[in-house]
Amino acid sequence: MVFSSLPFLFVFLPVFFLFYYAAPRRLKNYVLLFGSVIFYAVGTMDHPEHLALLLLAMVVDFYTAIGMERFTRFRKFLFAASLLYHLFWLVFYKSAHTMVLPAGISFYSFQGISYLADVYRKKYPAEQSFLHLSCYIMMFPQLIAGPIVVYPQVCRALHRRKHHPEQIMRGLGTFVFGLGMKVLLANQLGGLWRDAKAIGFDSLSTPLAWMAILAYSFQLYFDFFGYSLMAMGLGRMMGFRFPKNFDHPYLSLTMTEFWRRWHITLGSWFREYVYIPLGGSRAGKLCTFRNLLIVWTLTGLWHGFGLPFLLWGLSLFVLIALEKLLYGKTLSRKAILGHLYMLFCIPLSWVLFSCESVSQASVLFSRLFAVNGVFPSFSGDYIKYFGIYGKYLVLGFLFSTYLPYNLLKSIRNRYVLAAFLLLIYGASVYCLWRGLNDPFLYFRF
Amino acid sequence: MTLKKSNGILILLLFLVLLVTTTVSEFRKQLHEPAVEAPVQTDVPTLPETMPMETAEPAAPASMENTLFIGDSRTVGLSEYAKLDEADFFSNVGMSVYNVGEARVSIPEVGKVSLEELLEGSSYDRIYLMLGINELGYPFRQTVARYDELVASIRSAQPQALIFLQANLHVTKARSDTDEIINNPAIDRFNQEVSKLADEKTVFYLDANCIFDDPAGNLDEEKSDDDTHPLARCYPAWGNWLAEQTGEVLAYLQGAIA
Repeated sequence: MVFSSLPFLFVFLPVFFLFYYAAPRRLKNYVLLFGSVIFYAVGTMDHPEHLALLLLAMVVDFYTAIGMERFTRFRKFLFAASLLYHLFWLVFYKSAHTMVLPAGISFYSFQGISYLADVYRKKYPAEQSFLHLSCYIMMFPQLIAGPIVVYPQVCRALHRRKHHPEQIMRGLGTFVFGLGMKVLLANQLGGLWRDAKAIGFDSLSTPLAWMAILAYSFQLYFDFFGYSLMAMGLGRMMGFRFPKNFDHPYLSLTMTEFWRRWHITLGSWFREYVYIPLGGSRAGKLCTFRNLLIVWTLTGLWHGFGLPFLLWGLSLFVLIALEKLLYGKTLSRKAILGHLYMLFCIPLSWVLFSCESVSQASVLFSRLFAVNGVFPSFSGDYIKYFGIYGKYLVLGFLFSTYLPYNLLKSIRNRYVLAAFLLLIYGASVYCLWRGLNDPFLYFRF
Repeated sequence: MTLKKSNGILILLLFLVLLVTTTVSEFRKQLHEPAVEAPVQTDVPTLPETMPMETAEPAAPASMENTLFIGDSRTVGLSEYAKLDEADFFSNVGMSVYNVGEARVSIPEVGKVSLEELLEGSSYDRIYLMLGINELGYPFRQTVARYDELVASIRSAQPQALIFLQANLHVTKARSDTDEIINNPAIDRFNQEVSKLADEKTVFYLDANCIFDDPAGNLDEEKSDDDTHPLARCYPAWGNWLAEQTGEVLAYLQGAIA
């Protein structure tokens, strides 16, 4: 089930929260768990085996962790076996391009692995309540597309949390703001990218090709950022504080900085569970680069098993390595230079990410760099599409800065804020009702 | 109840939910599977041939001067990518027989006009019409009636013009199989009604699906990204095909007069 869909907004959400708030404290986690099961089951109705896979993953995580504590001699074996179990399904589904990827598998597998690794390393004891562990893995706000939460971030709240009306309202506000970001910004910007693909990259003029990849860059950001805000908002409405996933990434001065501010929970996961265990940057320059290469190859593969994602991951490694070796510090010191560099690098880095094949990406690259001329066919295309989508591109730039968020924070009057959020909500619902909706881009990972 | 026991009960309950989900899913699948019916012999008339006469030598492609195209997004694509620069285009995305009367479109050297104003103020030798896909959600007979009225109004405003009714282009198999409204059987059903309006004297029917279809009669997936519109690079072939087909019609008419 998609957050930005009318059935979710008008059926699931009200019914769920009615039960959730009406339930006595000791039953709230049960409502959360069974609500999440229904959320997932409805969303994957045509593939009940996906629900089976998720339930099995939770059982494996729960009993392996307990087993690692109880049978210390087999700790290593149990950890390795459970790790292989998760990796097997991830590789199996991601490499089989003809099969439907189980919703959220990349996210819940990583949450399970982080939990098992932490229990293995004795960072905290194994959870003894299946209810709590399954809520951690399965709670619907973060089940499908993160943020990738680690157990200590929700453990206390799972055992005991408060539901202040103030927090509930704040959570609702965050949810609505995220919904607006997805429906009013991402989906509209997605229209330009969709149109560019419908025209065919080979027929785009160079200015339109740049507009299209810019639109994709903004769409991806507001789509995923919007989703993360919705997840955080829903979590807060139930007394959870999820880690933030984005910190104005498009204002970064280097690619290294960008990946500290984009999909933060995935970056932290790789740092904590791959990069640092491999030795991080403590074992000399050569080892650092080897570790970075491994992390970026895995990051690419996490997004998909195709060659485009692998090349995308490797190209990020090259950029980050070059920044470390050559010009990273200069860019960080000189903001204008850094912004110009990123204005160029960010859209280009998304080309491989956005294309279904390397040959499609190479066609887009050829149009971006005017191979065979600036205007291959319809020379007025960029004027036409700027007329339609120009305002959304300007909004994209604006909402990538701090300005609108600071403006929103400066509204002290509750009624003004409520009216503003109501307006966003109304406009979003109107767009959804008109059918101007798209699924979330990050649901395919 | 011990924690161990409650964990076991909870897991059992969850797998019970899974069992229910699987049952519901199976039931839904059975519900959606089309019932196998014996083929019924119907009295559907076959489409008339596009060309009324076979010529020994291919006729020269017609020029597109003094020509008007009326249509939806596919015609917009034709105006932008088919290199038919001499023609006028009264088209916009989403145009249909229901809104073509209210639409105002910018025509070079004429300005922003309605179709009625355009037809009153200009004289065209040939008018091409392609509408019908955006209307598939509307009642079928009502749409056919509105289409007839539109053709009649074009005919009365431009009695000298040859009218070419273009078949609506197919969608890909992926869309046709999943879209309950816009699918190829529905498109073919409407096209068949359109083809009946051709008298092969002043109104002709042209079906360009032969350029874009795969062998199974769906829009070729290689020629479309959005399952509905041909890629821009395919439009020049459509433009050339139209010029050739029109040339054939003109040669036929000249032959008939002689």
